[in-house]
Amino acid sequence: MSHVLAIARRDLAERTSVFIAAAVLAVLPFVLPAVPGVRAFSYTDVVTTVGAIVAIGFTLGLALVLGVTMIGRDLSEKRMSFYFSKPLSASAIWFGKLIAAIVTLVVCFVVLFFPSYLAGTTSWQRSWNLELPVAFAIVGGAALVLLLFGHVFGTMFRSKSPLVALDVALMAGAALAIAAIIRPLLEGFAGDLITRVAFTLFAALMLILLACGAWQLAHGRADRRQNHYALSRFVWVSLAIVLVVAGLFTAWVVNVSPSDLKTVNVSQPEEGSWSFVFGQAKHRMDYHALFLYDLASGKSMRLHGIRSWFSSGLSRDGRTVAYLQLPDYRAMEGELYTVQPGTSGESVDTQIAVSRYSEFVLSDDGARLAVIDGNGLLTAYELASKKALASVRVPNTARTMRRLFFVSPELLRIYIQSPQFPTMKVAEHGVDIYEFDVRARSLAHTGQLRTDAKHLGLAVSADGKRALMVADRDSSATARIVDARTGQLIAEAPAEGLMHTTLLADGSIATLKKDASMQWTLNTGGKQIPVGKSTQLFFARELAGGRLVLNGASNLVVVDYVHGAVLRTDFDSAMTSFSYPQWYAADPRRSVADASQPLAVHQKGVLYAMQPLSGEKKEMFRF
Amino acid sequence: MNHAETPAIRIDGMTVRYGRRVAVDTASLTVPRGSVYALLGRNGAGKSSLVRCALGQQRATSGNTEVLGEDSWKHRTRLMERIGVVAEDADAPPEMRVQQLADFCASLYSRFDTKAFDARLDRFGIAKQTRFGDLSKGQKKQVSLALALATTPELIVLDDPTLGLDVVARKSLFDEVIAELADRGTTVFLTTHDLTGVEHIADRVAIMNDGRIVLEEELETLKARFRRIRFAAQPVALDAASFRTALVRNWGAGTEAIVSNYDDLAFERLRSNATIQSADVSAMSLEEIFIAVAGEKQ
Amino acid sequence: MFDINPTDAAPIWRQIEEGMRRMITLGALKPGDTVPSVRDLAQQLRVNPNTVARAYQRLTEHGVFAVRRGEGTFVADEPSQPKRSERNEVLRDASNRYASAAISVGATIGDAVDELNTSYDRLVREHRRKA
Repeated sequence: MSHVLAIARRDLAERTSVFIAAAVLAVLPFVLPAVPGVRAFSYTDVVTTVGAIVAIGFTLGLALVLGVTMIGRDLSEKRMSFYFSKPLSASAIWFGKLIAAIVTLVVCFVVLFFPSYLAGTTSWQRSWNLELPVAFAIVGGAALVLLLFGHVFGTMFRSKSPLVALDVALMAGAALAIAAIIRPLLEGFAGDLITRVAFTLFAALMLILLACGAWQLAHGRADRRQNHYALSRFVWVSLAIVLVVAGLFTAWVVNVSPSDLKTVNVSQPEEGSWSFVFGQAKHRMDYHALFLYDLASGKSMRLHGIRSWFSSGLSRDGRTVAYLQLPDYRAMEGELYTVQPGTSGESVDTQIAVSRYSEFVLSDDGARLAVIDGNGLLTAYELASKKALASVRVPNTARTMRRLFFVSPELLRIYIQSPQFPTMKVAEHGVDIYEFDVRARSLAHTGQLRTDAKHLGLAVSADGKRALMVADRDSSATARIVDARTGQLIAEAPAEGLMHTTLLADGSIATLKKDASMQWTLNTGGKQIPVGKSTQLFFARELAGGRLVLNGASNLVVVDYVHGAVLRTDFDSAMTSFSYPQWYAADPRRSVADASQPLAVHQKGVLYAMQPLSGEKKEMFRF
Repeated sequence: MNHAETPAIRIDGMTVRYGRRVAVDTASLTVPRGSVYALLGRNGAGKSSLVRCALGQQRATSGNTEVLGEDSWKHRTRLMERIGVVAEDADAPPEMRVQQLADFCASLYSRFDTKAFDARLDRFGIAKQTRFGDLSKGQKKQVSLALALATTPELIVLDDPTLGLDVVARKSLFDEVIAELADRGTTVFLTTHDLTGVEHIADRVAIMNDGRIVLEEELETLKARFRRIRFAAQPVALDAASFRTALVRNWGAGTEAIVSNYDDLAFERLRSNATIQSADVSAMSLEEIFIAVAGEKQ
Repeated sequence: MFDINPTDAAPIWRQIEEGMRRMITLGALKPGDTVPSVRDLAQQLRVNPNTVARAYQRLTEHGVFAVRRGEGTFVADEPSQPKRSERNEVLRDASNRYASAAISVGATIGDAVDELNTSYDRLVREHRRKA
């Protein structure tokens, strides 16, 4: 330790001129306001601004210069043997010189910064808007980075060895490796985890660079080239180790199965047994993963780079999933992929670039795909050939919500609903209905609906003939059954709001109503069916045979609405999410699930596949 | 380990390569304790590489180097406590004043003798407030030597100490070395290409040529076996007397031969057997031997 | 005193030994005189002190010098002359070198002997004057 200090003292003794320069520069901010032209500004503003700029600029510049020279100059001027012919260890030399450099930087910064800061503390805080410790940490960190990088680059380039080409190549390689480590995390929407990983990598790099000089001098000693070799070997080997560890960590983070999730959201389409399972993974901070999960078999399939099931669609036959894969969670655009769950086929890149604000739907057989973007540009594609079949611009699509579906493989129906749901703005609200003939490439405005409601909800019957429009005003809601193509009113009735009104398979509507004592009643076809007490209850899904599944926060009710009977009530089970999103999906059509299809329900951290009629539960995984 | 038994320096098969260039080629040498050992070689012969490796400042490509019984690469830090070094280019930071240098060294060595340093500096007539960079080349070497000796080393290594020094500076440098030898019996290892003064004090020499140690022995036996023989006419076959010639060349009308295994009796026999009109046998200075061995090869 | 000739075939320690003996023979150093210290002589001649020490050791062994504990080295009270055989060997050795030099410059034996006489006289005279 005394040797470290001896070296540091020696180095500092040589830096008198640097300290004098800093002291002279420290006067500059106080003299500058006297210059004509600068006088117009507030004296303290000029002092603090100039003072801070000079202090930071000088410190950072000096950090770079010291980094390049503290070892590099002695090496290239062959003066390193001065130290090595004395009983000084390589670490003593390195850390002594490093400490001297850091002390020099700190002293210079303090000398330059504090006089002007103290002259105008409030002005400084006003113009920089930074806590002092934060500002010091930033300047200190930047200075340390410049110092160490200066040293590394100085050593590499001063050796004049062709090895420097390899260093540059490895630098590029390391940058690519870091990108490869971070990128999969970006796909997992793990902002916090990425910050942590990036900070850890940075800290590891700093530690490597702090230690590199000691290793370099211990193995390269007084020889310039051997110093370079030793430095390169140390930096690259240790960085490789760090990157391999980080890479393994990323591989572990990314390698998630549904049972690694700690929070689980399940979105269960009515078609088939494949569900979307989305959640945050255990021990991985905010890393999220999305799976296609088969409730029948327990098989799962990971979908990468997809934010949630909102950015996915399932064909009516239940066979094909299309989803938007974003390169990272902040990306505004990605590509559409399709996958057929349950088959051995991998995800297929459709090479269709789609913005985050686009809507897309599959045709019922999954052979075609339609996309409408934020500007209303509608395009139909054929997936097998990856070809665009036809395109058209749908008018009045700004600030609207788009719903669309393939009436037939050749015909698309589009609902332009304004305003975007939900909004508080009172404006002219309504739905415009269009049909697009893919073969003829012709767009027809087939109908419209006007309303003064703030919230609109649209659902279309499975056959595409009738539509339910729920218009939610401040005090009451109205449900209208309309012709799905023309918007012509067929029937109108008071409703209980968006969440408590649904369109049934037979084209009628059902509403749920709660009384003052939390007793719920299901109204449909003139029948009033009491379904029991619950704090909250929604329509979850309709089962074939005239049955409805209702879902509360922790309970589940199956009702036979044809016979007006409650089939079963489970009090501890809850569906993890209410149905395939009836109000959010791009395809507004409701569908009816097969009564033999299991329901995804969770209870005390276990996901079960429950038979809705028998209530039989099969454990799928714990989370 | 018994000090008397471990040599001050033992280099065994040292090779130093810079890329494809071989600077030191399987060099081996032994510097006994208490000796004054001179490693001779022309500029670029590889002396400095050998010295830097011996001092643990540079890693030899291969070979073993023990100094004062310890591996000089592994235990350099500890060893330097016991070794005084005067480097080829006297190498202190130019900004440091002589006094600062002395203070710096005093803080590093447990046995730093400030009085001895001051006394030597007085003898050299160097002011302590002078910046090292402002000293003349000779003064730099003198300061380096004074620093090295002030650490009361067991071994002192002088890498080309007289390089660039004038006669007076060289004399005063050697005076200090001789005084140190007389007072403390320190082992001296020096390299040089300039033999003035060295011949008086060296008791063991090695000659290095193109990275190889071509010769290593006691100076006395070396001088005893080398002779220059000049023949007025064409020479008789020297190999008849099993003389090995280091060099044979024309000398005026006659021939000059340098014999590396001379002995009087053999030469007398040769003289009586052959009809040698005129042959002049003369002893050679170390410098002449060095030139014959290392100088005239292509 | 005497000088050291590094080009001489004789080793330095022998030159010192011969020089000391010469000084005693010629009276420049008398029995009981203090001999210069190894350090002083080494510095004066600019030779390795070990070499001086070796010459002194031989002189002590041959009874030319005497060491008195704590006081230093002195010329012995009755410094022994070299043995006849030893002396002859030294002479032969030196005369070989001298004869060789004489022949090489084409001197006659008469010239060589004259020159030898002159040198002998001069050395004796010089030492006497110094003493």
